[in-house]
Amino acid sequence: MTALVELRDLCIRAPERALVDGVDVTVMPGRVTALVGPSGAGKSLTARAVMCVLDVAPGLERGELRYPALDPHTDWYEGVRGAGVRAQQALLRRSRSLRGAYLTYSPQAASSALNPGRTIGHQLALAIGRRAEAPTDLSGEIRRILDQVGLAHTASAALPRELSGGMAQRAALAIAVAPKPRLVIADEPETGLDPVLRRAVIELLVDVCRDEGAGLLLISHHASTVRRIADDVVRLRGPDGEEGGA
Amino acid sequence: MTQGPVVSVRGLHKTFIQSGPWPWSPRREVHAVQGVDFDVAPGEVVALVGQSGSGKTTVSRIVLGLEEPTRGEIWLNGSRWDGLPESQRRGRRVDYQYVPQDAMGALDPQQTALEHVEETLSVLGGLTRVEAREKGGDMLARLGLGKRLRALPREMSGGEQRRVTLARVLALEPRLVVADEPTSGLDPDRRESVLEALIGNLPSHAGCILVTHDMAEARGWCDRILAMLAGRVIEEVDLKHAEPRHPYARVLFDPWSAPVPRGPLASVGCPFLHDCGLASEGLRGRCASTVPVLAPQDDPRHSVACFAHAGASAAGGGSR
Amino acid sequence: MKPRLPAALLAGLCLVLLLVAALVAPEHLPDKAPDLKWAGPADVPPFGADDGGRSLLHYATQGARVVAVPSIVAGMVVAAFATLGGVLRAMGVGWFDRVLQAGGEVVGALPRMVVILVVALVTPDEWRGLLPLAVTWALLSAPGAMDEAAAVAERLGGARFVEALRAHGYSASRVYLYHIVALNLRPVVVRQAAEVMMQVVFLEIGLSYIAEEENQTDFTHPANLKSWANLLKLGYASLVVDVPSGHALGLGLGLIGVVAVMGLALGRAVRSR
Repeated sequence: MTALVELRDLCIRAPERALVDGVDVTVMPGRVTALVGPSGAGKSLTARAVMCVLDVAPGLERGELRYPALDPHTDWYEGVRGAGVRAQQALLRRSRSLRGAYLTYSPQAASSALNPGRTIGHQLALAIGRRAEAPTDLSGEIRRILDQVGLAHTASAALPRELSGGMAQRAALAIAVAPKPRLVIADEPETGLDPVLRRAVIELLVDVCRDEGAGLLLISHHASTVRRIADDVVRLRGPDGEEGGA
Repeated sequence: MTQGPVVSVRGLHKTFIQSGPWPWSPRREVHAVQGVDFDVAPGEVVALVGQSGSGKTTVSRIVLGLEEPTRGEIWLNGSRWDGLPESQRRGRRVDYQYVPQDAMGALDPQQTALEHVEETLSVLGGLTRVEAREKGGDMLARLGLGKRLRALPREMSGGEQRRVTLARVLALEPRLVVADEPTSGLDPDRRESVLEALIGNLPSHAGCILVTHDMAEARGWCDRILAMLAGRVIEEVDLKHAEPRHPYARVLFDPWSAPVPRGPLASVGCPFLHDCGLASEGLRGRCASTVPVLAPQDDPRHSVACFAHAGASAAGGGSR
Repeated sequence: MKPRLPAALLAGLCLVLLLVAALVAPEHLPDKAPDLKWAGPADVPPFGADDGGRSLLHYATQGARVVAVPSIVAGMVVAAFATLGGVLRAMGVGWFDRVLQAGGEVVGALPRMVVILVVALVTPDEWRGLLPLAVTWALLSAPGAMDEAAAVAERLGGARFVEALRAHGYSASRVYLYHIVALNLRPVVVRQAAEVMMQVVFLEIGLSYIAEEENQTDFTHPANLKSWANLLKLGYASLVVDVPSGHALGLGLGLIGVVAVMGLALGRAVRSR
């Protein structure tokens, strides 16, 4: 099985200190890799680095990033290591086609993932449009995805603000999986949800990924979640070297 | 020196009328609270636990008079509280304080942390400006904000804002604190410290009602947990001595221990009927027609509203 | 507070100057003194003389009298509406808020200058002056000011903010008058009022200038008073023909500058933290 993403020895610096130092992340298809650690350990930063989004100065100091399932040889960080913000911006532009197609990102707050001015159906249609092969029946496909995440078909016509917390989370999840990505990066999808809903959303995420054969990189604070569903765990240390978080 | 309970709730009911989008649309009745009774003794910390829609927030708001009950009685330190006009309540609010869920929305963006507590102590606490400033500074320092006295709310993190609202409330040394999801929106590392700040600094004879959706979090800090579902208390337990027995309370306690409840809630009989694994053939009829009431278990402080756990000899009858 | 004190002092000084000037303004210009025609500030302190040898100081004070009361009244009208808008939003009275918003949108859509001119032409003679125009302008500006204040109240947390403070034990008057109005609405309300004050002054100058050009009777002031527009008109000649009235232009622009400084300083003095 070829890995979906291989990140080796990631080191990102801010002016005063290293924000992330010596982190390795590998995600295999159909498996869940959890990224854990206390606040400030750099989990979101690492997740964004996996997507070629480097937005800190001076930024990338060391690291190699490959997407073996896409192209086994290219190291996407070539020319970016130690080269500063401009090189990082160039990388951002070069890698644009990956995001939303090969890999998708579901941010911490569902509200950030959803466009407040467009219906869920419209946003799903846009996401489906990123697939390599367009489906023949778009509305049928939208309904299928809504079923997959447990939303009623009427949600297709709803605006994000009309959805409850749990429903908005599911809608964000639907948009993350609609383009049939190879890799889903979910940044603390459990935020703000009660324990029962948390489990429901996590199970959903894992099930959908496994059904589609996608890999899941999950950032989570909750030890119980990680214990139950993670196949691999990457632990980051906090700014004072402390572990914890999960 | 009242020895009686700080809070006494009897037969609490609250129904909201939800109107539709048009003036002629049918109106729906939402039974947010359907018969809740409990006491909070001085020095006791009680948690109201449940998912959204369980009624826990409504109960806490009614206790403080932010909503009026449809039926029922609220007694605070032996005096009747519900139905009192606001003019009579205002003077007593010093003793019965509220920590709202949205900390930022309760702070004045134009006041520093110290100014918030200073105002509380001089206006409500009867201190002079100088005394209020000193005592306010001490209170904030006790909660770890000693270096943030001159910070404005927008310059503070979520946890710091939360601690300013706590400082303001605790500085008054109230007899009751009702905290509505005080850790919501905070990282797990911060949640512990906020609960510690709240409960660790309560006056020794103060009662506290902690509203939360996370039972495991409540475990370390509360003397008693009241689990709510569909407007009723379905279990009352001291987690230091026993584990929850009601099937829904067990799910709240450890969501991974049983399949995720799919709902919907039943409107007749036990609301958890459709998701319950314990309703054996013999019990099903009862569960479907009658709402279970709280029945004491081996420990009189532990009650469960479940026919499968009825009776003091809770041998856990039910399906296997 | 500290950085705001100089701004407050400056604004206060300008306002006092304006009011004092309005008070000492003469009812009529003095008789002409032809030998002092276009005299400079050295000969006729402090600002020089016009083409009739009359001191320009009288133009300044009379112009101040024309604008002082109307601009202050207009500022207060806008301040009142803005405060109302903010307080209503904080009270969370849903339907009333919506009605007010709808009304505000209609008013806001009206073309201001057209309305002003219509009011100017329609006002009966005995009521004519800057005051009705200034109040009209203030009413037309009110919806925008109310919106801004309502947005501030919204950001505060609206009804949730009020509820939290009342649950804490504060009286309604403390919550509304001190927290909402004095601490939070003050910056936006005062800034809106200052803006409208400046606009009324500029409106007066504009309308008077047009009336002078067209040889019409003035809308904004009685014939015995001069407006600051007259200074500009006198001074304009120095730019296009060879008339030594540059000092009049300088004074006119300087007075406009004082008003602008006052408006800006007022805004800075009450700026939020």
